[in-house]
Amino acid sequence: MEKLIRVCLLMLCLLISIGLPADICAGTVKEYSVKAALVLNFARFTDWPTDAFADSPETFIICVVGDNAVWEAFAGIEGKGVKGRRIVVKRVRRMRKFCVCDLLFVSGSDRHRLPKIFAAVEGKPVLTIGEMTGFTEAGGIVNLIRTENRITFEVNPDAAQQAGLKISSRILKLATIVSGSHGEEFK
Amino acid sequence: MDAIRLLHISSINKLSLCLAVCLWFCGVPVWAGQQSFTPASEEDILDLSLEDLLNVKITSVSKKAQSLSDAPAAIFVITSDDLRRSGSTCIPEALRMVPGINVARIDSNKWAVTSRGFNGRFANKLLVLIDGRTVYTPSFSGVYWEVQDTLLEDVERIEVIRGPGATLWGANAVNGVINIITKHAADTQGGLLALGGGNKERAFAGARYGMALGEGTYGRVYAKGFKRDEFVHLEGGDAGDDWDMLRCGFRVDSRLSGRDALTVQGDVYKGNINQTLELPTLTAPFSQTFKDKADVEGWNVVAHWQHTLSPTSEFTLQMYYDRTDRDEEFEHEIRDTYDIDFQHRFAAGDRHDIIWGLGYRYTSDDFSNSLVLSMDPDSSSDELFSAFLQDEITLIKERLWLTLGSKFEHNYFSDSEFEIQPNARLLWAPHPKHKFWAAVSRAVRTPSRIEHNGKVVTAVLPLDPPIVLTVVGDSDYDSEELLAYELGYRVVPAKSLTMDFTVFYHDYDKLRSSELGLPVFDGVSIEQPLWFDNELKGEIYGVELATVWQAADWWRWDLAYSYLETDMDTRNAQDKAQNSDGPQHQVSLRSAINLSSDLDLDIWLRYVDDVKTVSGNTMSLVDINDYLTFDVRLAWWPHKDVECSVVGQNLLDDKHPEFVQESFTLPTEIERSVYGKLTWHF
Repeated sequence: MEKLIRVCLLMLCLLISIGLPADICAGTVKEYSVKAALVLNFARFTDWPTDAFADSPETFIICVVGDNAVWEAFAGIEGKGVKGRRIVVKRVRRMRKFCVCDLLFVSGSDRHRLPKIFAAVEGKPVLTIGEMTGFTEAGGIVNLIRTENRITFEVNPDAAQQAGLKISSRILKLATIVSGSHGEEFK
Repeated sequence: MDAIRLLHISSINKLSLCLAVCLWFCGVPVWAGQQSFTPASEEDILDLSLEDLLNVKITSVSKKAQSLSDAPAAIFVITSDDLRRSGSTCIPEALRMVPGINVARIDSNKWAVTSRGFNGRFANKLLVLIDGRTVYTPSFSGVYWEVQDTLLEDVERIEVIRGPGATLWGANAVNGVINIITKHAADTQGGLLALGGGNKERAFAGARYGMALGEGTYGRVYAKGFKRDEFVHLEGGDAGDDWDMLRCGFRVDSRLSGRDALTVQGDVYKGNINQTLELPTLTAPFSQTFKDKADVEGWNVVAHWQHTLSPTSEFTLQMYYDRTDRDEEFEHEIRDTYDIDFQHRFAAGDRHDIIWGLGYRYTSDDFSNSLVLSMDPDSSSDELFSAFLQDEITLIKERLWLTLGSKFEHNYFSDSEFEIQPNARLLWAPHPKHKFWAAVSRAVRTPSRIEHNGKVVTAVLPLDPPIVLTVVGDSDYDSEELLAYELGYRVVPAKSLTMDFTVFYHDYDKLRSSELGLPVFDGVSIEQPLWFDNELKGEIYGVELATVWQAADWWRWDLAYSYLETDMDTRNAQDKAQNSDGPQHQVSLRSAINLSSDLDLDIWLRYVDDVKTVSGNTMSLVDINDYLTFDVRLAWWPHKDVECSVVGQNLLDDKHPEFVQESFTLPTEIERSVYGKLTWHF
């Protein structure tokens, strides 16, 4: 018990000594803030089919699969405009909700959920954006890749075409182009 | 055991030294961290062009510092980053950072690991899985931690669930589940070479190579080996517990089609584990201390197929084979396990997410009996059938979820009744930054082989005639039962700070007790048996706290605190001595500092309160003093693909005891260790 008290004292000293240096490193930007900003740009430089927004002409729905940290970063782009529509960010826990999304961001590296996600958006005009190795080969449209401390991305134009989306050349010329499709089995 | 108490040395001077070192380091990063600059701030980043965004330098603030789990259970995740920065060279050492888990090293090659009390070398209420393969041994329901290993760089995460996880995980998930998950082969592309050595980690090497094997198919192979030095006996002298191990394995992940994913993996290992044994003998001096070498080897192969039926329905089918062979002086055990598991997950309507499954396991063993440990019969097989059903019901969308489920098990060998292990869990998320959960669950621990068929000679008293003390299994021995009540609260009280509290109350019935049997005289000696019995009741309750604080982009703190109270309702002192006690308080405080873009400093402080361990020889409790110690790791990246690190472990004392095994080994102290390591990615 005596040692425990010493541990507590030591902790206290350490905590005081750092003096709450919150956000001391202002020069860099958090990974998911950059990813949210990139997603906003992808939305702006992609054309959806004309009937895609028939259900909700006022809003552009971005669905986010991820934890509260990812969700919080994406809350920063809520209310911004895309093609005259207001962005609404929805946090998705269940696969069955994907049909309402215009854009879907899948965070993390859990590949096991990909088949269900791609099955849910099959043939629908949903821009799928992920951040794991093999996302585009498996049928995703855009994959964000972290290389050291910057972000690059790959695009699968075939998958975009299957979804009925047209990605601007401005995006394509910055991207690594990947081919591959997630199979016709769901048709 | 007064000697252990005498070792309690005053560490005030060493502590102040440590404090000074820590404070000195505190000042360093204030300037060292500020090297990379971009013009963007969090607010105006949305105004940047696409081209500019790709040039922004990002920091990956630990997601752990901000994420809150949605699981209605006491879960803690060790990430691959945690594992690397811990400096741990084996899996049990890394588990010391988890609240509610007690890790005690018995000697250089043996660990006692438990969740929420009842620790021991043969701690029997924990389920451990590596990529879905159960690694506890049904011989005694415990885990031989020294043979559970893989290339640590290939570990994706270790999920630790405290409390009963029986519904989804099944057999033996009474007090907790430890789920070791390795990376997908697509995430381990390219080569890795890790080499190192030190005073206790004499030498170690690991290599892995991963490549694409076709479209959507990735594979990797690895090999590793190590030689670890011996520790010292409490009474002085080398403990003779040095050991070495070689291991290699592979993993292939293939996307067979848009809706089929297949994983096949396997490992093979072989090791020499030295130990000093103190075994009873029937002739004078009735006890013999000598050096022994345990030869261990094993191999396994696992296949896992995932098939997606629709966006809301999928099933998985998993099969594995596992062989272990352990040959030491007092026992030689060979065990083969075949397991097949099916799980189907689907959504029913708008509010129900259902998962159900079926499992079958066949395990057979073959023991070579000795005077000290014998099984009757010496070869046996067992079949385990299980089924489970769980429904996660959305009561209020985005706010309130109820999970109801149960596991049903039938074990042929133990002839036990049909076991039902239900649970009910509620998760309430009034706000994304506040989550509450509550759970009530029942779990059982089915009897181990030794509790049914075993006989262990624990000591021979040098009288005339000599008295042989034995512990004898009983085929009527029944399952132990647990009713667990848990409450949890997860919160983000401030930016970059998360806290995870759990309070639990475990109510046990039919715990293992011992009953004196009638002595038997065989003409030479008198055998005095102690029979296993289920007469003990007990309560264990406690509090667990896990906190992550990202104090700055370059500085993260991880605190784990556990409080544990053990209250056994004993008829007599012998019963009490079936279960270890404590530690009441445990603290793990980790500080991860990025001194600069190519320099990391990690400090890991640990406090573990007094423990009482069970002595099998005298059926009494042995006191182990509390200890405070810390590890330091300094890592330098001279090139983006090369990491050089120096790790010091248990730095506060030259040595300290953490645990004494129930029987057969001499009390051993854990020594200070320093090693260097070079890791090259190519």
